[in-house]
Amino acid sequence: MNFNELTSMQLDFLTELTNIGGGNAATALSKIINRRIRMEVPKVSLVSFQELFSDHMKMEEEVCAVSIRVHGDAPGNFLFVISRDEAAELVEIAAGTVVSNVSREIYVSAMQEIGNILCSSYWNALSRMLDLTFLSSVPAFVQDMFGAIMTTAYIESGQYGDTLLFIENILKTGQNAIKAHLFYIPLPGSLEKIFELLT
Amino acid sequence: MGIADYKVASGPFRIITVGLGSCVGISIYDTGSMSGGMAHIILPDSTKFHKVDNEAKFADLAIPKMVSELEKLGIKRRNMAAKIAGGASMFQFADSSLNTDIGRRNAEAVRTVLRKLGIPLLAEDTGGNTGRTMILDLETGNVFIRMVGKEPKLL
Repeated sequence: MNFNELTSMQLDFLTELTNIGGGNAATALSKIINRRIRMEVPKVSLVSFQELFSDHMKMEEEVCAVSIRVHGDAPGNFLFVISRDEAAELVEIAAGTVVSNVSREIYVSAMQEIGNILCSSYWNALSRMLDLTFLSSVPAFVQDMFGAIMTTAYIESGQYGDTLLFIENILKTGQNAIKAHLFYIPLPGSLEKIFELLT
Repeated sequence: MGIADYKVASGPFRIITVGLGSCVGISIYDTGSMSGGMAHIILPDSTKFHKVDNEAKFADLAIPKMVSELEKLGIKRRNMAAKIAGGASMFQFADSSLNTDIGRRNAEAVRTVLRKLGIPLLAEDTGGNTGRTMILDLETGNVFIRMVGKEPKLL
């Protein structure tokens, strides 16, 4: 499938889907954090592997990431990525204390939970709209260079094609605006399946 | 240089590949002539694939191609030496069936290819679960490894 030739209807659907997913995520995050989280309308795009490394994030930047494997009708790999500093901010908001008071264990588990909520909000929207079934793994947390994490997630998905789905979320609480990046790295055929259901 | 790519050069240059996770970086150089090259492979074996769109992705194709480019620069095979880095396992899932050993297999494939080509492997920094950046300084033949939150180290 040539993803450059998607119809306007397919692209509209993608936007609508991310609006719903983003809305769900903001509500779920607000509940767990017990503080109102607003979310800007997420930006969604289909990007190629090479574009990603030249445009979106620096390869060597230290980031926190949560990887969740998804099985079922459209298997793939969800990857939630956030810069190290913004991850600390998010954990501080969630824990209600400065990050130096938070143990590593709590830090990792908070990040995993936030990653889980964001990712599941999107695939719930997807599964409801398209009647697809998704089963997810327990998340894995990693803190390292963006490039090393991203290439590994990509290779481990058996995805040697080129296109992945990139959703850029901006979370807001009070004065803070935190950029949370979400990638859906489809197994071969998954993205095609989603778009074929829309034609 | 990019991912799934290789570069050769001659002169007082540095070649850098950034963000090796389960991928493996291969530096091959000849200190005598200030020449060398670096490859960044992402998969061990091209023979598992029907269609190969980029030879530089695979250990079994990228390394021999780079070596023949180096030979075109006038470097003798017997003067070549290699250092490698990467092959990490980045994600530790609680459910161990989800953990792949692609990093280990990449490193193993690279060692096998080098052995077949008769190029000695002088040093390696592989495995573990951290990402690496590899820098080859052609002027000295030094290879440096950079990791998050650590001083670069000489390999």
